[in-house]
Amino acid sequence: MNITTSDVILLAHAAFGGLGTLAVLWVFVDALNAREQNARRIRSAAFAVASCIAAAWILGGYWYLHFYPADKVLILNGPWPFAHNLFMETKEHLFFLTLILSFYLPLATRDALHSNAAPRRMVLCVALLIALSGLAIEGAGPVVNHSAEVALVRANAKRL
Amino acid sequence: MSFASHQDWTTQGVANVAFFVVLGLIFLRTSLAEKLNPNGMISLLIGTAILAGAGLFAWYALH
Repeated sequence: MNITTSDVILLAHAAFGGLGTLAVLWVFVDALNAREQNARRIRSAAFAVASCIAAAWILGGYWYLHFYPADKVLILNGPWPFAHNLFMETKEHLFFLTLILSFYLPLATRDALHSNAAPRRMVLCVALLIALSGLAIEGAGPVVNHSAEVALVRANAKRL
Repeated sequence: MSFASHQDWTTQGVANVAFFVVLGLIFLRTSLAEKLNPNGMISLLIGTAILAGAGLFAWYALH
């Protein structure tokens, strides 16, 4: 078994992204049924969202700067260059939308959601936007990963 | 953009978060958010998020 630092960072990045997306669904469902009793839980879940997405950002950013350049060359010379040009480029820029919304979510949940409709609507919309953009970003990851595999398989097939 | 941290991606990330914090402090100090129509704010947020996502995808699809 040979697990590299690159593997650990990349998998942790994806795991934190997935956990953040799951936590935001938790915020959404709890905010739909906002009561005084679950106010603290909503704030904790919102804080978990911000923490997970921040961790995904730092880990993903580190991996992108230190390990992705080699994969990028492989992908761009392989049969799926669109995986970088379209999916990776969109993913890395769209991520900032998810990140900023995730940082805003704990602030938005500070209001009494059970007694104020407007802040509750805001939390629901922000949570939904994080969930949708998070799923889109999470889905782009395997496309980029698979494109590197396809490029490697093609390169090996040519060599044989 | 790479002058500040030697990597444009890092600079962009730090700049985005700094912009968010500065704007947040301005809104907090001026109580501007309380004066705005909540439904208008929500519509603006949804509209800009959809526009940004679709715009980014379209931009990279065409270039």
